[in-house]
Amino acid sequence: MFLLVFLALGISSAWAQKTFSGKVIGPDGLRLPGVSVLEKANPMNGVATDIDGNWTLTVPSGNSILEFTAIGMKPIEIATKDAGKLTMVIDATLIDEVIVLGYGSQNKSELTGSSVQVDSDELADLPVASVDQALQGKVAGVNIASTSGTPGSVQNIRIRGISSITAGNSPLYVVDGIPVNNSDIGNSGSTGASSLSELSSLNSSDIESITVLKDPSATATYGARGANGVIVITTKSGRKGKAKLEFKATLGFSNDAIDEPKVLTAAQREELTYEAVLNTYMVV
Amino acid sequence: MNTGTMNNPLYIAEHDMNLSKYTRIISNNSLNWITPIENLSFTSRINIDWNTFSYKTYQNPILGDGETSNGTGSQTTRNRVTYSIQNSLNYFWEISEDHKLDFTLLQE
Repeated sequence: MFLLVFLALGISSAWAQKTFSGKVIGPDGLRLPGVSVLEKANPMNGVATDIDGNWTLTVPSGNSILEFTAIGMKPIEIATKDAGKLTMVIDATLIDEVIVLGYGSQNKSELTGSSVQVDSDELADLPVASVDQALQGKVAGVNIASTSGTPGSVQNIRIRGISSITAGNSPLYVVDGIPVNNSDIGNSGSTGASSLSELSSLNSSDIESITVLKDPSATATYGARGANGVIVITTKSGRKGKAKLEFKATLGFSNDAIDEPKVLTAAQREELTYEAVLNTYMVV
Repeated sequence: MNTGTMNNPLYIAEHDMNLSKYTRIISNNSLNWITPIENLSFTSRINIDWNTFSYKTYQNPILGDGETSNGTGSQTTRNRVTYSIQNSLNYFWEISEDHKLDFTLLQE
């Protein structure tokens, strides 16, 4: 029978080693070349399947466990005697990345709109005061500029340029499915306070992913509100597994990029102050 | 005594005040209803965004920016609460393996 091409060429009595062979089939039923076949106990001993998906491997110890691995497929571990014909299965977790789109999510392969997702592992180690700063340099077509040097200040975010002369150009922010405000909490109403972004109130360690929806097809569900692009933020939630406790503290400082003139000492300043007084009040 | 822009920065640091505080609490809760119809789901979501901002500033009349106006001070407090209630009905229709349709009816 075709299914059982498993051949055990028994020369075991003489050498105590066996040669095994078999065939690897892909998920579409076609033969799969380039699959690496390794003996688990001795990874140095291994072969790759040929163009027809066939492999032959001599295992010194006779019976052993073989590992079959191929890019995009789920790895298989199997005893030599059962490895005659194998069918590999596509690893869905590797290929179908899920993109979060505000109202629901979609597999990356099915997504037609232009969007970029930045995941937590890319955001976690960035020492930023506000999460929108973490997007800087990560998403093509997104321009981010600080409005002030104050930590947590509002970032000017422009997705694919400026779309309106008279109306606003800021994108829509959606946190866990709900559009949120992102006005300048500090300066609005002319309090005189420094610029302060409302996004600075979100801890960057609490973010699961940030998706930037760029083109009209991606932002269509948000209608006119999404005209300047949409930034979808998903926060972390409880998950299965062991309880984990994490502590993180960040300390930073900023310096002048160039050496500026040195500041005066107290004595120099005193001298200059008296000179200023003289210049102001004493008429020569 | 007016010495132009040459104030004593230490004096200003000690006597002037510039304080802004921002506190925000966001609560986002959702309920997924399982319907008797297969592939039909209903989700209700409520989001409350409560935030408060306070800003306090004081400029002393002796030295610095407050000199000309004989001293200024102000206090601003802003409270804001935003409620969002969202209901969505979702139906997933798999015609065949290559044709899948997802319908969402949303009210916010």
